[in-house]
Amino acid sequence: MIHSSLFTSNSNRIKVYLKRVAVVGAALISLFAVLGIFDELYVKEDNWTRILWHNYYKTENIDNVFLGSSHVHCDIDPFILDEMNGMDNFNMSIPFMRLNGAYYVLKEMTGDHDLKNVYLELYYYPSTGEQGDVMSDTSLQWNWYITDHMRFSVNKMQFVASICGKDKYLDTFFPFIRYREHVFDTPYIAEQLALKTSDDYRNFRLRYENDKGEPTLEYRDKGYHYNLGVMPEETLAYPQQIDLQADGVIPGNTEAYLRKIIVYCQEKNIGITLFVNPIYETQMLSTIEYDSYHRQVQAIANEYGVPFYDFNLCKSEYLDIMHRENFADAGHLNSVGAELFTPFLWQVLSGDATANREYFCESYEQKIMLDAPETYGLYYTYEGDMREYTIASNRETEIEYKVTILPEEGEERIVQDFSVNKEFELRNDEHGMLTIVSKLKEQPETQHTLEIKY
Amino acid sequence: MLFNSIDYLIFLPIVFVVYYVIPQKVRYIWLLLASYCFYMRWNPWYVFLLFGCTVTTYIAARLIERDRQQRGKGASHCRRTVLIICVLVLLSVLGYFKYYDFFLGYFNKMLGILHISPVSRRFSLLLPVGISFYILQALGYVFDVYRGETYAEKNFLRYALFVSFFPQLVAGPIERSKNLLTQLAKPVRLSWHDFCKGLLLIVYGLFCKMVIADRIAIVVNTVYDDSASYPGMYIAYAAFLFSFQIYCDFYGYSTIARGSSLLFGIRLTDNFNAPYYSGSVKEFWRRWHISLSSWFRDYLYIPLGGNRKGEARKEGNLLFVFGVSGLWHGASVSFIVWGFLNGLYQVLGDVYHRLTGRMRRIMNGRNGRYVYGIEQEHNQSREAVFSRRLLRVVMTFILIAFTWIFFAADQMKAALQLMRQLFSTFNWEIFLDGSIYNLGVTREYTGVMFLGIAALMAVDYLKYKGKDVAELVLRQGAWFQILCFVSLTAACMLFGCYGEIYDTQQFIYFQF
Repeated sequence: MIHSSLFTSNSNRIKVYLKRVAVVGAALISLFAVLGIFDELYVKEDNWTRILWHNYYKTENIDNVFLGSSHVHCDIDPFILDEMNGMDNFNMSIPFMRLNGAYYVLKEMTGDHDLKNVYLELYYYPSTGEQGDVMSDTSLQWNWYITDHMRFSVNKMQFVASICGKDKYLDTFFPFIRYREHVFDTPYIAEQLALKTSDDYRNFRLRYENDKGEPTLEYRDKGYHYNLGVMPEETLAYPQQIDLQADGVIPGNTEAYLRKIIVYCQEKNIGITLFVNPIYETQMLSTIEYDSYHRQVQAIANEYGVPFYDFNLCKSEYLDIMHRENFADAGHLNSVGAELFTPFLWQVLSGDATANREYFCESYEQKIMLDAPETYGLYYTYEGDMREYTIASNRETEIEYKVTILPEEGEERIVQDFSVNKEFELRNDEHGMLTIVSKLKEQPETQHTLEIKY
Repeated sequence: MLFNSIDYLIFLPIVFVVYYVIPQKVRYIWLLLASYCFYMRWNPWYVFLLFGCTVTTYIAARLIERDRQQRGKGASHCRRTVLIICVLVLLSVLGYFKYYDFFLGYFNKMLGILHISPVSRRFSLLLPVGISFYILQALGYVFDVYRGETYAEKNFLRYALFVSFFPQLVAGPIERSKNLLTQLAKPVRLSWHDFCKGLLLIVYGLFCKMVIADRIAIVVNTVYDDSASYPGMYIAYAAFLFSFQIYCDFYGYSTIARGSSLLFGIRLTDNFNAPYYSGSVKEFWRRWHISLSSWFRDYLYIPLGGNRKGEARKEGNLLFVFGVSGLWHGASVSFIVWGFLNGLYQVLGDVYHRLTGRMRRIMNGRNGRYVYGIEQEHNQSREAVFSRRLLRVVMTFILIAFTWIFFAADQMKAALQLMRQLFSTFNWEIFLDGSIYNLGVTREYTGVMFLGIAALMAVDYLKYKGKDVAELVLRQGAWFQILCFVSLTAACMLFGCYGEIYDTQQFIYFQF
């Protein structure tokens, strides 16, 4: 037992002092080692994000960064960009990345690389309504995808301080705390251990193959999500996020971070461009006040003299991408779509802003009217015991629809015979196959059939 | 600011670092500022109450001492007047904030009987946190000065720190000026030993609170909040667990307070000394909430005559003091009953001992010495003594656990409902068929809970045997100290009740 003062001066002062520092250090190291073990046992990691961050920290040079949500890593092929612009491009995208996350990720990247251009993707969903509130608990959960992997730095501390109140600090710094409901869940722990001791996990590899050994889904370098999956026709029903979108208004704190990102880039002489990737029409048609969202972003872009390109407003004659075969799901392109989209994206991004106007409509409303009449699928919301469906087509009155359902249990029945009505409802507990036959009025030769699982 | 909150985790290191960076002579001012900030986190306005109480007792003590210096040590009318005024002022404040509603309720009931319209309160007040503790501490100081047992502190800021020292401000220990004030007046140098012991006490206190007490709280709240659905053994199980909940909750708080204080080189009174190893209720109260028990003993029981004025007066004093103690805990009849019950146990114990003593004297002859029990114990084997002691400990625990039912119930009506439910059925099978795991705590966490209780009782056993466990740990090698520290911290983080999935429980004694 040592009773002497920490600051006692004697011949062994430095030795004693060093010993005590070593004890404190050993205690902290031991504690963090134990907490690290808890992380290994309990944390269910998002493998994609983990590999992305690992890959990012190993990447030596990045010139152009594409920041944003999962739409970036699915839709943009950085290898095509490398060939086209002769620079090092990187998709730094986290699922549902909020703009506060984007801001601090950008700061992290400018500390590590001499960035030339930042392309900020602004998917409407994480930027509007309740989802767009960067201080909400939902946003925090997505921001944990960043804090869990970002290396310790002042920037990270600032990020943590900005995304949550003090009551969430422990959850943020020690991820296992968020999974404590699994403390005694042995199957869960076994699953985590099996995953974390697998070769793929240890070697930061994400790859799924078909029977021929060809990759169907793979993490490729530079943050590219190679995916050959095609949105099945029977999944063309999109669950409308009506309660999450509010009225297409960008919340104040999201707008503030958008402005911060622009100002930050301008101060650092980094080129900044805003853009929105194309999403499938079932989702686009289900959005509420999309044009309002577009106008708000456009106004901010204009205020700072920053280009803004919304590829959902792109005329089909220039980007004919709205086909099921180009999409992995209602939100993301697959790699076929990415190969189609990326060259055009770069053509626009590297082109003259005034000349680029030719490619885009002023509003989404205008864009769908320019397109040929078409039925894309369905979107639906829940209302009590019922699901309320709306047929996702780009015309209000020109198309007639015949809707037939074949329940899993029961006989086929017609919900509506050719009619312009686009809305119908089904019971929540009823499932089966739904067929929509659409045609232009008085033009039976235009008949088109969609089969959708419900 | 709760000790088991992230705020305190940030607050304490900041106060600690600044404390040792600034010059010695202004450190107490820094602690005072920190203490006031700590208190203001609950309700900034109530800091004026704390300040008012400090000013009142400071002036009273100074006046009393000046009078003593001027007129000598003999009795003085002036000193007594100052003391009475001071006591009345402080008790009025306490009464107003803590008991006004309670007495008003009964007053209105009486008015109702007389068909007079009730008196309504124009505004409602929150009970200032820690008021019962700091008022008692400040009063104790004035009594000590009055009796000439301590000096009246001249430095107002130092005295203010004595009243408001943050580790013990809101739930004690109720410190005596002879202990705390004198330490505040001395220069402090951080010792490695105090630093380690302080940290160890803090994590052990957090373990008691977060791993044991708050986990138990889930079961107890489930049963007591819906007692109609949980008859018989459910109530017994909850009562058993509540005995440990309140202990771990209050002991946890006191231990964190001691640990925090030790980081500033200040040693606070240990409020508990293995209370559940007591062989009688009297012994229990010598081991439980020691600072409060000794306060009531020194400033109420002894002035009332204590045991110097005959047996009947002694027992009356005992009942009165425990009744007051119950009322001090809360403005509710159930608290008063709880207090009286504890007093009654001791009165009955005294009566029993007197009767058995007389019987033995008769059996040993009129002039025989009353040494029967001791001789017997010496003659018996160690095992027999142990078994008798064990029986006493278990019996005492059961008696105390029974009184906690009144303590846990907010109202007398609720306490009586719990009593009815307790004796309504004998459904012992709930301990075998897994029903007890449906009370909000799973089988696994119940295991953790009981392991925690076992660890606590093991530590307490060493304490009961006169060993300071923290000192024992610190005498071991550094690796062992690190192991204890890391294990306790990791257990708190993994098994503790905090964060999103739990409703962090306030310390029970904060409400008093």
